[in-house]
Amino acid sequence: MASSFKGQDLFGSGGHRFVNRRMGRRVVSFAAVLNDPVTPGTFESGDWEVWVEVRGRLVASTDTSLWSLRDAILAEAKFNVAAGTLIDDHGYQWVDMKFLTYEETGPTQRGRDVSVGYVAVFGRLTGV
Amino acid sequence: MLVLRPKGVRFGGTEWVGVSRVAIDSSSVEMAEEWDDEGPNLMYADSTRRKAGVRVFQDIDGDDLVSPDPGDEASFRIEVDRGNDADSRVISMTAVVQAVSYSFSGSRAMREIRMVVVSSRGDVDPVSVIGGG
Repeated sequence: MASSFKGQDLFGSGGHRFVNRRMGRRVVSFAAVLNDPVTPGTFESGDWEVWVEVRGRLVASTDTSLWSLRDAILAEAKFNVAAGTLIDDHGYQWVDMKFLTYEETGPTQRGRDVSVGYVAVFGRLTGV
Repeated sequence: MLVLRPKGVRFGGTEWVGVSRVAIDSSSVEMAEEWDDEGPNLMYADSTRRKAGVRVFQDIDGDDLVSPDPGDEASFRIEVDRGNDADSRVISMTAVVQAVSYSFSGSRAMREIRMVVVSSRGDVDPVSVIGGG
């Protein structure tokens, strides 16, 4: 099945892979919190937020078509756009995810196709 | 492309005589490759940076005191004549000398000139073939 975000196939033009970022218990040092490097020890502060990366390549036949793919992605990555459900190619769902950033990994490449590699980051933000 | 026993070979204003073979190689300097989450196999590839090179093999009968220098850039032209107009071709390109070397077999000497081919723009094929069919 195709991956999707809020029901949209944003990444289906090319191959892409999902990567879970750090998960589990979040541990914070007293030194960092108290701004005192000599204070020893750490404490638990909840769990890491769920962050997921999608790494892949947008592929189009023309530059214009590639910009259409980008624009559809950027429309979801802007300030105050609502969260939604991210689904990977195997049907796993991350609910209440915000599309945080989209970053290209190099220049647009023009061979048989027009394509560009990217990293898209999604997160379930707990502080907002 | 490979040309055996070309009728004529010219680099800029200089005719190179005794050329027995010209090989025009092309390769990808960079490939865009992508995998997906479905399995281990590469599912996308594209050649996104390419480079063409030329190797000219020239029989040398005597001393060779004037040879092209690495970095020299000029138009490079190969005339291919197969006895009738329909099969005649002219292959042309702009080439930059990369290396010049000599090899020996018994009393025979051969000069090999390696060049890279440049294009006026990235989307223009740097090698043109005119004539024939």
